[in-house]
Amino acid sequence: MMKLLIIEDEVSLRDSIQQYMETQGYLCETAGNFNEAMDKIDFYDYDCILVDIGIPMGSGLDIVKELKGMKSKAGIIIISARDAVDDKIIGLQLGSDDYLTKPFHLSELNARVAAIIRRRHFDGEEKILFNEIEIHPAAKSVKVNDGYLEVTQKEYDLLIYFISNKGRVITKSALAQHIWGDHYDQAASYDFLYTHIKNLRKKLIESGAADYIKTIYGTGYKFTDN
Amino acid sequence: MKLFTRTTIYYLLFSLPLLMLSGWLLYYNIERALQHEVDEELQNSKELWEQHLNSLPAAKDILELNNPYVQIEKTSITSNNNFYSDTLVYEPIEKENDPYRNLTVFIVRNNQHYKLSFQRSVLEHKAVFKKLIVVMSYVFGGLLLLFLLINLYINKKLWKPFNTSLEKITSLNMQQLQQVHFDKVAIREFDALNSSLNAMTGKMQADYLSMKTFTQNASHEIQTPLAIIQSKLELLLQDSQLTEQQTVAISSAFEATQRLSKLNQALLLITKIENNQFTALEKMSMKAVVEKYESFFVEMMDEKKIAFSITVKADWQLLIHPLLADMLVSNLFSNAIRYNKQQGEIIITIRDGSFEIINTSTMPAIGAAKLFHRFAKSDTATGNGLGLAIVKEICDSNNIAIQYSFNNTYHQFKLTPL
Repeated sequence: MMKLLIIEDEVSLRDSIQQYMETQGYLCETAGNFNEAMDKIDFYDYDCILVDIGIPMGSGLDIVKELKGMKSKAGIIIISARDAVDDKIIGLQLGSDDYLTKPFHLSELNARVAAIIRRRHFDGEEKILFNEIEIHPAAKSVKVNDGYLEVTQKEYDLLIYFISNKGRVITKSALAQHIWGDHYDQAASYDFLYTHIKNLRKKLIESGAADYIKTIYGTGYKFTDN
Repeated sequence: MKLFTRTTIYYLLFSLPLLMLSGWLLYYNIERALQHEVDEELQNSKELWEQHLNSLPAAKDILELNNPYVQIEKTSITSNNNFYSDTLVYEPIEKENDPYRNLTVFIVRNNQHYKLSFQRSVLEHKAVFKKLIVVMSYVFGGLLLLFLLINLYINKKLWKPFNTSLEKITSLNMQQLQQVHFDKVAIREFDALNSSLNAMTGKMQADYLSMKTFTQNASHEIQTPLAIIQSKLELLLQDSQLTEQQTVAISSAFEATQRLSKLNQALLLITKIENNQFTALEKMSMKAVVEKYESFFVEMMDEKKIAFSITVKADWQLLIHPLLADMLVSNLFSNAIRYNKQQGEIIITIRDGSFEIINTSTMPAIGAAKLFHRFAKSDTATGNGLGLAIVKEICDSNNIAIQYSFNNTYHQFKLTPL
């Protein structure tokens, strides 16, 4: 079981993250301030650490520095309310693997944690399996029942996102933001998201996979096998 | 106009009439004095001659007494009026007319009227007078020059502390928070100015700094509760017991928090642009920026079956912060798509020094009153009403002129350097 450390001083947000990640099968520990966080990283190993920059008794950036100093193998995701470009650059330069700006979608956080753990632990060699669907991230290939499936980059990204958040309700905006990044708020509607999902769903069904993509009326989608 | 030029003009405006007046007065008085002297000499010789004539025997023919100093001739005019006059007398030796002062006197002798003319050459006087005027002009000219030199010196020397302070304050760059100090100077007024400037810039910098941190903190403080709301709603959506109605309600609330967060970010962005917190460090290629967004927007355009064409006559290299270049292009581009009609058209033209985006739309021309105003969105708009306000703000802060025109269902935005 993968271990996560959530360093966040806002109790409500911390609980939300913990709750979501635990249902995704992670073992979560939390820290509400700098000292607590330092104690935990000194004693335990984690697979991925989520760090808020603005925490009491210190800065999240110092935790990143400390982790890098002790050659920790943990993946690091900075979560910050500050969208300042400088913070982002400093964070990534210090060696964090990713940067998420508040507010973020829990499904997005989950997908990023999964991606980092995959990269760190298996050098991308691990297969992502979901019943008859098999994905090789290194080759970016998708197989259904041993037959290769031709998908576009966006369909591939959507599929990974769906499988990472399997069984969860994923909102349209989370999907749109995941696929188009910061551009997505320039989009007037989710119309073009529907097109990509429709195509992915068609390809999966035609290649012999079950219809896993369920539409949740007015909300989004759920990738599930029951 | 420079202070030096201004003071010089004033010096000249006041001193030239004054010099001219004093020149004229001097000229007038000297001329009068000289003439008065000549006249007195003539008067003297007249009196001497009259005494001399009176002492002569009555039978003596005075016409014999004619000489260069006095000409005596008979006349029929009976007058008691003696008068002075200026004449020119031909000098046969020098072959020229010389100026003379003349005193004409009428006398009666042995019942015969005579006219006596006393003459004095004023040639020498005139020469002296000419010299005098030349010297005077030199003195006056020199005086004027001296005035100007003194003015220049004063300007250079006295105003030096002022100019130093001025230079410092004009090169001051608030957003880079340079520390600036205006030194103590000997002139009391300038010293007062400098200490006020010190106080002012100090206050401004402190305010600027606190405003900068305030806007960032405000955003931080708003984003965190939004993040909590959003995460709770997302968790709530996972509940399989929810009815469809409840799910839709939660989704709406979820979308609303998203909008609120975007709005907060957009307002923060405008404030940052207004505060000049984006310093352009390098030139951005408009062509590259458009191309970056093309693939993303092509999908949106395909949804509406919009015909898109881009013409790059020459690339436009623009000194602008990369983030602002992105915002500028993506806002204009997405507007062109958002307000376009099905099977519409978008034409982008880039030239060296201009960026043009033309789109078809079913919407009427944007009124000048609404154009670029915050939250001035049209009824069917889905945006937050800040897109064009951000565009305008970016243009204003980067010396870009933005023009909007509407022509036969085609809306056009054109950017040019200011």
